[in-house]
Amino acid sequence: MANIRKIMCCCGSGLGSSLMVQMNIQKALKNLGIEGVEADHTSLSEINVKSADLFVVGRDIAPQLKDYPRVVVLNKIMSMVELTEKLEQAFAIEGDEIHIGQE
Amino acid sequence: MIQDLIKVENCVVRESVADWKEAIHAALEPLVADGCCTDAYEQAVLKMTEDYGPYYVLTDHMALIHASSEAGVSKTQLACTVLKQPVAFTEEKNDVRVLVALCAVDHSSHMDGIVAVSNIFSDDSKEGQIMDSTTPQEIYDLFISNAEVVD
Repeated sequence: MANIRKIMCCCGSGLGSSLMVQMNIQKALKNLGIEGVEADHTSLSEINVKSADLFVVGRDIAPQLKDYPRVVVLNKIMSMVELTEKLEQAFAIEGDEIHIGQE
Repeated sequence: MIQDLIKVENCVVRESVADWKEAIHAALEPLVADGCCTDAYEQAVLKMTEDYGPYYVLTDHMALIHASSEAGVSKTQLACTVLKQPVAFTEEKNDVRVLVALCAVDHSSHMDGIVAVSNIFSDDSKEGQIMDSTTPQEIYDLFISNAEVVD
């Protein structure tokens, strides 16, 4: 299982979709029975590659994180089903690189 | 508390807007009139739209109009405008009927508002209810009754 202790959700403003996704991640982790993982949200301008072990973003801003090694990209930002599926995939990955939903 | 974040007076039912720029203006108008943010905030949304595209269109029918917290915001508050005719933000995002405007003084004071937005718009039937609203009170009541975190 991938070593993920901190997940960062990012959007352009750090206020809207990133906070929504953070709350959904907390729900999804609980549903998946994954404990001990911190989720936070912020704006694109405030992150660097070391800010977290995994970054979750919407499709619109995915190109901004194209050089990041561990990224989950959501097509439907409010979909719990998509988020839960993709988080489960992310945690199942062995190895350092996680690219889920990236084009 | 959600009651601190939205007012009936800031809920609007409107026939239509000419284009996405007018949609942004219409969405933020109640918050500007209420003294929660200034025109600078609208300019910030327009600028960010030019930079990133319409990042705030979160479902097929809803746009959460907002910029970052720094730009001309003095109070955390939501407003909601329901359009009877859809507006297009791009060729793909062309069927937006609900404009939720948000301004926030920091990254967390609007948490209860986001919970309500998330609860309403992740549920097709609730999203339908808000699109079918014909009075400000109906819109307001939906926000108030959907502010609890659900598992």
